Amino acid sequence: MATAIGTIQTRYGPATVAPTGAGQTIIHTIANWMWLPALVMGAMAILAAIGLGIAQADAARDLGEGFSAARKADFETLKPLTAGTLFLGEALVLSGISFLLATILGALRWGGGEVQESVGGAVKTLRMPWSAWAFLGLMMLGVMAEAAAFGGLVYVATQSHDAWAGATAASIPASVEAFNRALTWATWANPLREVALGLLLGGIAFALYTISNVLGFQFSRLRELITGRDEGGE
Amino acid sequence: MTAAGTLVLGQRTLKHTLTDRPLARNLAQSAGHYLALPMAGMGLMLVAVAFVIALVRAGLSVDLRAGFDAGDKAAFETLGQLLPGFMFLGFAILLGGISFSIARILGVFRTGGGEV
Repeated sequence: MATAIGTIQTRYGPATVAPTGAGQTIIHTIANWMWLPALVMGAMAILAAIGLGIAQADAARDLGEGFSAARKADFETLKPLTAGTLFLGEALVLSGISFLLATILGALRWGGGEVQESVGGAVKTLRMPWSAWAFLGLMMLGVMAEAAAFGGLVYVATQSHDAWAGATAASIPASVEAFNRALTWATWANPLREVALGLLLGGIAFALYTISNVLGFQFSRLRELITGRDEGGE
Repeated sequence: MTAAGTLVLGQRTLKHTLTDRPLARNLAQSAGHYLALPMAGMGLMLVAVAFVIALVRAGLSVDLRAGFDAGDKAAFETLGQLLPGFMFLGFAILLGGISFSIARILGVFRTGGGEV
């Protein structure tokens, strides 16, 4: 990592000036390592959700043939698990995409520094802008919210199982308390899993916005190097 | 001076415009430039509103279990209809924000490439 010899204000935000290029930050390094595992885990979770969905359809068919408490309990248990696993998978895929966008930002930071250094000029590097912090915050919040929603839906599944195990009719749960708990938890856990996806999508929007700003800065720096004219650093 | 032509790049032939000065952003890129952040912000706000509706609905669900009340039931069902509306409108606007951000990037390439 180069030692900064000064800070300047550009129209793209504050930037540091150093004799050598800035390396990648810890966030970029994590992104370089994590994008593929996140995508693979997401795909695996989605496949698992498809399996759970098929099992749920099977339980529904069994239930159609004739009511039994075990069949009803299976069906009601699999319902929140399928939804939770599917959305967890989607959140992991969106996290993988977010990590990939962070690797692009890292490549722009590192590559831009390399180009400036090879030309022999001072290396100007944009400081982490507010939109990048927003991207990071929204992404982390989204992943945590999705994990919480998944935990909530697993609890709904356990309560649903308790509610229907031992039931004597399709419309009367064996444990009304467990049934009510499952309903109340599902009322907020289902929207929370969608909120998590919204947060991740918001993070992606901010990441793309940051990329456009960083690209603008890099083009500006290239123009400076070509023309030898300072474009606004004071 | 403006001229249109084709550029042969490898096996691909690309239509291009030849000008004596860099081009400005086109309409879609200008829209993306100004609207990317407002769209993302509005989308996030709508998703947050949807979650608040979900929390209120969960509270009503608890009240309804304690004892039936027509007002609570009506509010519970009404919020149940509003919730997906707010949530998915938020998603749509967020995806619009992502599209505008991509248009913004294309605008930077168009103007920056021309200026370099």
